[in-house]
Amino acid sequence: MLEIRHLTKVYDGRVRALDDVSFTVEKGEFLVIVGLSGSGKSTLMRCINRLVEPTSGQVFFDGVDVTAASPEQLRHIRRKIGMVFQHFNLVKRSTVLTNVLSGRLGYVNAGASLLHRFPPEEVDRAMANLTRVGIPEKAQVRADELSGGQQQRVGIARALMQDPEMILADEPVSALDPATSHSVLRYLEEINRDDGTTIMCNLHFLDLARRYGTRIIALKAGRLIFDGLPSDIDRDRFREIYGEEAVEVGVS
Amino acid sequence: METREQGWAAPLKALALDWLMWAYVPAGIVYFFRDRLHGHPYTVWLYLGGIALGLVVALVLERKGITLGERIAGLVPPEPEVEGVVPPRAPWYRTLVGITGLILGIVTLVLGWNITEINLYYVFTRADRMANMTDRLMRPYWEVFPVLIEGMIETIFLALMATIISVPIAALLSFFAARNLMRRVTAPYGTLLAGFVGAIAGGILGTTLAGWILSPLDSGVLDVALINGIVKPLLLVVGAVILGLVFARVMKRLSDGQHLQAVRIATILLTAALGVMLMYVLVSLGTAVIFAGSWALFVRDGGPWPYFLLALGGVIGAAIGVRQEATSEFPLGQVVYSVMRFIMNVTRSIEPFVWALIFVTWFRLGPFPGMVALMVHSVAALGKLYSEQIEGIDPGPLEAVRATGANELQTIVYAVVPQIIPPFISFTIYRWDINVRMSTIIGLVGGGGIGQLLFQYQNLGQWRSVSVAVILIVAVVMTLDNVSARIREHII
Repeated sequence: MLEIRHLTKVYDGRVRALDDVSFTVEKGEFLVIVGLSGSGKSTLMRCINRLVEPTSGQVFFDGVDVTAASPEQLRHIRRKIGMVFQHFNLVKRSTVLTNVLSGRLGYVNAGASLLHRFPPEEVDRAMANLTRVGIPEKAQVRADELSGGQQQRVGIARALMQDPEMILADEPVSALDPATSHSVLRYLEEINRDDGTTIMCNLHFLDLARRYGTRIIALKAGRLIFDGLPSDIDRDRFREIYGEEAVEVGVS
Repeated sequence: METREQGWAAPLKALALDWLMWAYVPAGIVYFFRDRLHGHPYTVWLYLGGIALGLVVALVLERKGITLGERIAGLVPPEPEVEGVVPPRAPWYRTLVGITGLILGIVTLVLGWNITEINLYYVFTRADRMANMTDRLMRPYWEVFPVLIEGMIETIFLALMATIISVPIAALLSFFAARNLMRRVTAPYGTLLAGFVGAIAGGILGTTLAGWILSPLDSGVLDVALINGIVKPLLLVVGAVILGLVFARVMKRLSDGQHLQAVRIATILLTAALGVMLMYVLVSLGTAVIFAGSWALFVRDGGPWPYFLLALGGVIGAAIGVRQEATSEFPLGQVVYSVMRFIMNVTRSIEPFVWALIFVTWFRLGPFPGMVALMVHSVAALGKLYSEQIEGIDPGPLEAVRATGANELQTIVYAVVPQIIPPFISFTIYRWDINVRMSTIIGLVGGGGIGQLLFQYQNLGQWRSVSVAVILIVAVVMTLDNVSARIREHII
């Protein structure tokens, strides 16, 4: 469902964040991307929905060339791709419900949405998604009053509002403690399993990648250096990805 | 000195600074004696000699040691390091930097004393002259209190209206003056160019049309001034919008329809037209600002030159047009941002007092011109503050909302607006507070309110009435200061 061909991103004509990356993602996969900080993981995700414009190469989503899409087409593609962020990226002063509803902006009547008016069925959908991530009682609370784990669950509910075919999760648990990390990743796993939503997830920790991923790819200095099953990453592969001095630490 | 090898820019900067400082001293001394030198033919030579002397002194001192200029330019040699021994530091008054600073300071103070004509003799001998006035100030004439209260109410509402009207305008403009929002905005060069040239042509056409329609009006029956004042700007705007949209639409059609040759020719012609227009504006401005003339005068007296300049503008435009790709993306947002910032900065640096002088000639004396003057200044000041708030928002939510497939307007309403509302409210209240204080001054030039009354009483020497006005102003400003501080505290 997602095909990436020779994707390259050069920032300011100097920094080569992505260097000729090609791979495909099948429907229903839980693809985990690993690599050091600065290896191009976040840039890769943002090139898929063009929050960052790729320098060259192509991205095909459901057979449509995203890189050649007009602004109107791009919005239609974007609303099928949910996104979850490292720092949650909620509007802190708005309520949880408003934050969740904002995930539906690509579908609803644009004029009415500017006046903060949503049809009742959309509000119901938002409440259903909040229930799914286990915090329906927080709907009217301001987003910055929630804990980190709860905020990320709001982020997931917002992504679910899009009825996504794929969710891009950009280091969704890097700002969370180990226990909360597992709870958040389990929601993503459940969405992957029950809805068949394809998940593409950046992770720092290899044991999390092994535990949740159905497939792992690794980036190093913008290049794709590994693409295979979680069980294929042995000690040598690990050293190749993270460098000679790296020692594997875990999140229990 | 070893540090001299680091390049030529820093030593040059140091020399320029030293020269400036040592030219300032002799020039200051000459200026000190300006009254005695008044009209003397050699004065200019004294100044030039002083400046030359400055260069000589600077050069000599730079050979002797570390000068102030070198210190400011960052040219300080490393201290000689001796194992375990801390080299003794000379006291500041023995160093070149210290002595230079001392001399500059003394010259500045003496010159300042001389220029501001500080007169201690008056201070000690004429105190009783003021006592007469203060004596009357101490006995306020409370009978004028009702009149002044009316003036004060006028002032407060004047400030309030200026603030209220300026807020929506400033809020709207601030989005166009926020770099983080405008950076991404681009438009195809060809369409934009066609729209722009079309809008200008439409504006000219509209005004001409208005002239034709309105000229036969009979002044006996109708309020011709009113009809003129409404119809002319209306037709200008309507003409600009219609023709601008038509031009842009045609150009877009041509580009979409792959009529490459036509697009190319249109681009060249339109850029040439833009060149002619810009040259006209430039020459008109130039003749007005430099020679106090006008375009019409230039055409009358300039022979072939005006036409030659217009043609030159056209040729330059065409040359640029040949090189421009009609479909290339023009950084529209960046240009709008720069223009907005420039206009706001200029408007803000003109005091409301001066704006009031301008609007009094338009709207006659009274609170109305004062309100408009305050409003114009408030729009510029608030626009800058607002846009800085927008630039400081957390970009995360922006990214997140954009990623859901929301359009630009939805992104602004859901990701930007919630983040900026509290600082906007806070700045607005602060601005009202400032406007009340400023409107007392605006009254002095006929801008209405208590300031105008104060000025009248002062002109008539009615110090006891002035006293009441001053008391009232102090009371209101203090109260408002307090209230606005408290409200702002609650919001943030």
